[in-house]
Amino acid sequence: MPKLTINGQEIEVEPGTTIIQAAQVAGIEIPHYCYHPDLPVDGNCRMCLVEVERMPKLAISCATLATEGMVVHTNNDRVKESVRGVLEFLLVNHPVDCPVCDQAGECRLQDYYMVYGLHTSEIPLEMKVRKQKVVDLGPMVVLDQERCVLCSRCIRFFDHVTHTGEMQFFGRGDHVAIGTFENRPLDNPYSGNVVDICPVGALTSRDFRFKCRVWFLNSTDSVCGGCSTGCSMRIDHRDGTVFRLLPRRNPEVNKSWLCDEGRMSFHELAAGERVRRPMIKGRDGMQAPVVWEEAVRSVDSKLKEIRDNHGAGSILGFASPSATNEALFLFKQYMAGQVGVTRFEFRADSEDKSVTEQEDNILRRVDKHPNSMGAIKLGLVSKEFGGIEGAIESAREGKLRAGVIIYFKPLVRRPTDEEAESRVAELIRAVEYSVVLAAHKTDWLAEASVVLPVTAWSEENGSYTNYQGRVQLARRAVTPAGDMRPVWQVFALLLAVSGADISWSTAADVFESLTETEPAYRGITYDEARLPGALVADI
Amino acid sequence: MKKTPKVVNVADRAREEASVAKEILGPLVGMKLTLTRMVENMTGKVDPTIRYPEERRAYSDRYRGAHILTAREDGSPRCVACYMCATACPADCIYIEPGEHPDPLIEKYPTRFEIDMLRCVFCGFCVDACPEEAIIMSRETEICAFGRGETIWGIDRLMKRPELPEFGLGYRPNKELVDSRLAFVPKEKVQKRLAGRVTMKEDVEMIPHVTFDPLKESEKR
Amino acid sequence: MIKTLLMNIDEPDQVEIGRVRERGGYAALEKALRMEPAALIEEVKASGLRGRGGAGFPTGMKWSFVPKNSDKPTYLLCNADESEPGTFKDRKLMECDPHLLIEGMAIACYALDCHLSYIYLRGEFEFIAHTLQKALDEAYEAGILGPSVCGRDYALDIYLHLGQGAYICGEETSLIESLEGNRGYPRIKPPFPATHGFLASPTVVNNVETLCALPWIIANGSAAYAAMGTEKSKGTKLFSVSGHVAKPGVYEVEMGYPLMDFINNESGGVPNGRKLKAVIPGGSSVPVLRAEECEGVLLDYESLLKAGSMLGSGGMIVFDETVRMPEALSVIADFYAHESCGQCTPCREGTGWAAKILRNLIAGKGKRPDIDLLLKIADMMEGKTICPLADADVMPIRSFITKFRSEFEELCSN
Repeated sequence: MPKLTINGQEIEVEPGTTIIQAAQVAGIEIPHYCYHPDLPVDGNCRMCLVEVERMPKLAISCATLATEGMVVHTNNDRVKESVRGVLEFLLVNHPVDCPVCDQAGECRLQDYYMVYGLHTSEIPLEMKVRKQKVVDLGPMVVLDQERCVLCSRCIRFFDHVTHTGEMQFFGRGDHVAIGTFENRPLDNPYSGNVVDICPVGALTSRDFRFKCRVWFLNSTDSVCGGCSTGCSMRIDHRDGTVFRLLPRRNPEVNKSWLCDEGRMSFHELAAGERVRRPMIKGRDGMQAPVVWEEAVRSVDSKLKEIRDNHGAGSILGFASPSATNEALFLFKQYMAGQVGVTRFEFRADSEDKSVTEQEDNILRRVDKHPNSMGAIKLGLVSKEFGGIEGAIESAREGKLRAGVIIYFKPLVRRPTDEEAESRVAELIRAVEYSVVLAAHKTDWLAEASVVLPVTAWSEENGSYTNYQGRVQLARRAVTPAGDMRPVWQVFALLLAVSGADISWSTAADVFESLTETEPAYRGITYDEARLPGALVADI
Repeated sequence: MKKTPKVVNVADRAREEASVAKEILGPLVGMKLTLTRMVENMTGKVDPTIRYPEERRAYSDRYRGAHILTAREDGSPRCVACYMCATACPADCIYIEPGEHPDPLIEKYPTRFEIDMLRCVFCGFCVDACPEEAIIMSRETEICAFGRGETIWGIDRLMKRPELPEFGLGYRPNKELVDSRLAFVPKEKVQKRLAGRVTMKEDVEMIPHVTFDPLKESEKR
Repeated sequence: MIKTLLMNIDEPDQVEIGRVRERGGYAALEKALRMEPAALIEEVKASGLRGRGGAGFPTGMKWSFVPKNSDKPTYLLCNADESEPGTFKDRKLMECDPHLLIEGMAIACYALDCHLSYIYLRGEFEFIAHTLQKALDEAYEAGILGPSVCGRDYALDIYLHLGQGAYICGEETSLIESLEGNRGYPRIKPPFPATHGFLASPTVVNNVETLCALPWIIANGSAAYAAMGTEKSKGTKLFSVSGHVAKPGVYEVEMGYPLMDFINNESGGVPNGRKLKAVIPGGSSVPVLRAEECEGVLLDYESLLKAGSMLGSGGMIVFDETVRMPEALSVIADFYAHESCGQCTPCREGTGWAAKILRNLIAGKGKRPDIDLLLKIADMMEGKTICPLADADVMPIRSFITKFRSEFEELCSN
């Protein structure tokens, strides 16, 4: 374990650590462009030069291994002069695009200039090298060759992460520009990541282009609701509108990457109408809006009536694998604990779909729901009833009379979704009494006996359990207009009405209860469930 | 030795010193300043009153009045929707919606640019913040409306200002701004100097006066 | 003076292997094949031969860096990418005595236990490729190359690879990248080519002249070679002299030969009665020397370093009094801007910027502060790059401006 001194601070690091990583451990920031913790080292920007005692020339800290007894200086005059020099060189041919560039506010050139530069430009505008601007590289990415600092992060991403090698340098000297081979379009399902890793505004997002200046945005930590991988991400939003999703670095789950579908998944939420008020179907067969109190009481009494008359086996609890752990926990507490239901399901698509099966060998998984593992760990599946098909048949035979269904439409679409949704619709039609908790209006929702409006992903605090069994927190970013409640709150109300002793006021309280009650989740704290998330017990 | 005070009978003294001349001229002497001023005012030698709207106060070169969006040679707004003004505005009164400009060298332009003139505090931060000299202010202060809807000024209202020659350009940090950046060709500034007028208000520059005869103007139209 | 490299230059038809054999060519190879490879390396070390491409690194020591017990094959790459402005000595060797190069390569390969070797030839030398390839074919036919070199149990294949016109590919790691089929971008060192070179295997890159020196050394012994030259610069060196001299060309002289003698005698002196103004002794990448500074300077690594320049590749350029130094510098700066690979920031931007400023200057549009700006750019580029191309631009800029500043100032308006 080599010990080295950086700026007078002595630290011990693992063998094989480079100086820049060691500095990070010590809390010292070394400016850099081409270095990225999840990409191979390239050492071409020359920004991370530091002084290492007994080395005649400055060394690049991203490629120099920390050795025992090394003494490093990152902020003495010689290093500061060198950083300022490299910055001045980078800005020599850089276009004065800040007013129109989307990267403004989160641009490494701007940030480093304010700290290390603050020099006056000594090159007239006419002398700057001109290259192509506003090049459509693909559906997700816009390229501006003039802004590029040629750090090669995008090239290394496509070479070493997706192994597709779409981007390359063309030309020589100060006319080098990045681009795709033969200007072919970039249709890689991970192309959005180069927008994140580009330190300047050369690669920008087509979807986010010009929508909002970044300093107006608020960031909320969350987890992707697209598939069971559960990539850590953050939601950037302003005044109730989500503008973009960015990855958070989680070495255990998604490193620094997101797939394009997950990145665009927030558009699904805005598409389609929302259910805004609780509705109960009256004697005339038409749904009428009611207040929550009335809806909840009606549901509780009706469910218990059916249970008393036909037995607990005539009620089905159909959870959604997109609901949060807290929601599923209280769902179980109410349905099993208060009503006595024993029959649970959560899969509307194919029954044998694996939670862990990969769709490609990078991030995506076949199961397009974020919390299937949560439903499994909480025991919300009873295999002996033949899945949803069995439930529908059972309902047609008259054995199944009621169903409480939580339904969220998937944020990442696949051709099989329609079929899955139609099965849920059939189930609702088949039973006598159906309570549906939904966020978006569907054409079959009018046939349910009771409709309870709920908040969807990004609109509530909660946690999800990914395919690894890792619990991660997703925080609320936006609040939709209407009388929706988080799913967990609906069941808290039902529990209260049913006479249970409850004391939860926030999702965090429910989480605490969950970790105390459920054996798989025992011992996990809220703090642990932030980055990188905590693993549940193997049960 | 203690001096005994002299006793004066003021009534007696008054009677002794009084005269008709003193009775008449005394008040006049005391009111010399007042009467002088009265004469000056009446003859028009001194005229501190600005008879608005026929006469208007001349504002300084950097007066912060109503905003103007400057134009390129082809008449389109110079603004690139960078949001510096909207961010700098302390009253949060600028609303911009950006659009993609077909020319890659310009790239961005505002499809909507609105200033809520009722929220605006005319601080001029927007002009300071603008990197493109796209927004400046004029010396126009007469911005009234018949309803609240009219108080939100869009791009058209901010660019086309036929009445501008009367008021003149105001706050712009860069003095080399050329008139060609306006969305119209300004007429020659109307300058009229009222002869023989002297002002007592040194803090106000009375030159140039601008006169505006409402009857004459309506005849022109 | 004993010639170790250009001894056959005046003989006609030296590209024919029959003629080469007649005068005793490939005898050194036969002798080498009878020695142990380790002994060969020691012999080269003892001769004091230093790399003739410009860096001057002791060749024997470079060879000894190759790990002996690697499970990967060793490669020897011949750096025939001669692109340093003013240098045309390797070209002479390859055009007139290609078999000398093949013999030298074979000796080196045998010493390094290398069985596959490449000649990386500069793209613009396509006309030499024919000559070299013909020589290679003859060598194969004669059994000098192939599965059994000279009948021994040693297989050697040498291939000729043509570059595409990039000065940067003369840098050894860039050469290796280009040979692997990638863009010619230099690699960051460590790791060094001796352990991780071509195809991540131990690789030695040697200049043409260095390899051509080997046959004489093996044939006549390292002591004879070390007897020539100075204490630290042994043997002989080729100098390609151009510019304002009566007899431009390639000449071989012993190390330590006086510079002025070389210009006045071998090169015929400055013609037309003009005076000498400046000399660039070793290719455009080394600092220029004023005429007065050339007095007493010897042509070896140490003496030139002491004089404030470097031996470099031995590409000597002679300027007489008619040369306008700013224009000469602009030509040189244009070269580096054109040849910069663009990988790392200081060189990519700095060389281009400096070239533009100089072009402005000689067009009369420059200002006084531009001269100091050029020096500042030179300071900002130096020592911060992956490869020394930036430093190679810094040397001429700094030396020209410092030593001939008045000429630059004359061109400026204020």
